[in-house]
Amino acid sequence: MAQVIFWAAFVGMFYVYAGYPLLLAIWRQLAPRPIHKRHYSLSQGRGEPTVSMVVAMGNESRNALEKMRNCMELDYPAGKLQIIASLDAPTDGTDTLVRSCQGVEVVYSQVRIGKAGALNSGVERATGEILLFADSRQHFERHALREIVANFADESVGAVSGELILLDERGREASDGTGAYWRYEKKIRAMESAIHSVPGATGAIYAIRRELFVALSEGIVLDDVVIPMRIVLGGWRAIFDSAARAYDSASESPEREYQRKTRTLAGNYQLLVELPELLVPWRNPIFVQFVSHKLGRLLVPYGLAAFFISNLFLTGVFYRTVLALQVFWYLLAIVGWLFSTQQQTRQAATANPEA
Amino acid sequence: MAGTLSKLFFFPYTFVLMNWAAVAGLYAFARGSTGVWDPAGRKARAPWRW
Repeated sequence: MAQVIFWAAFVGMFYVYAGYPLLLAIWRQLAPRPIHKRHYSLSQGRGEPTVSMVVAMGNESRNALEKMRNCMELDYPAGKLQIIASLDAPTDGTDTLVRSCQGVEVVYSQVRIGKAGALNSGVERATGEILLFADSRQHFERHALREIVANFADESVGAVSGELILLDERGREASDGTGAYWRYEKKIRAMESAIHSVPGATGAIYAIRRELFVALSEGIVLDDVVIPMRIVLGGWRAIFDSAARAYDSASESPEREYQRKTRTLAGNYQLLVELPELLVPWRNPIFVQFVSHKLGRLLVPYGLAAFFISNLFLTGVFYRTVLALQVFWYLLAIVGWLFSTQQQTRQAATANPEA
Repeated sequence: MAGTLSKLFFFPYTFVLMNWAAVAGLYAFARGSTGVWDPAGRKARAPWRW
């Protein structure tokens, strides 16, 4: 019995992290679905489609002005870009900062309604043919909007996710810890996009056709997954375009990334309640991708536990070696945790020397 | 050298932490505490002013 659990856990986890990417690589070779991207210009027909950019904000006084400036500097005809800041009852002066920016339309809620509510309200105000969603912290590359919009020339495309690049403290793409994980994640998304759709966009930069927006339910955490997945269920494609880039700094610590991850993974459970048809193979056109990518990741921790516990009951050189490797791995993790705690204590002492 | 050493420890730590986040995420979902920036503020519908 222990042997069955051991191997089932191993095969399951191997599939999620290595087998699925391999499957995608083969799938992409056998059945690619190229995207017919076309850059619009004023000389071609009616030119660019109109775009409404919706940025939902809570207390964002640290980022609000910079974000609004960044939006206004985008390479897109001013008359075709509507910038909407949807404010969720900020208490730190974000509203004053945003209102000081000319050309920004402000939607203001006096009581807190959460991000989903703020997005719904922002979209109610939107008039563009394309809705572009963004978070307040990340910085768009100047041509990002033009790149993202070009994908809508392909009539099968309903949603487009841009690429978020995490930068380290030296301004280079982060390669440690979360940075490495994020690069791996983006490679998978690129392959998923090449065969049909990604099961979720990047909240920092994604766009959809206006007519495909359905108001979000109250309290939805992952708007960037619910919105594109609903569009995929409707028969459209949700693709990933690495030419439309936004930049952010990598989380300063694994603990901060842990908090972010806890929230997004909780959002994945919420997603299953919100869109249960995702679990129905004949209703979800990317059922394999959704189960392998989203559900698989939710199950891996239980696989790890089963792998370790079942290993305790197995004898023989092979199983004892695997157990030793597992113990070594977790010891390294404990040392990493101690290092991280020490590093944070040092950083806190540097930031507040009198404490 | 220090970078390689920190990667050696931080990679397993990050991996374990991210997997633990999936368990914590289920717990957070079960408790209903999934708000993006303030879970307490999700209750009421807003009177909008433009």
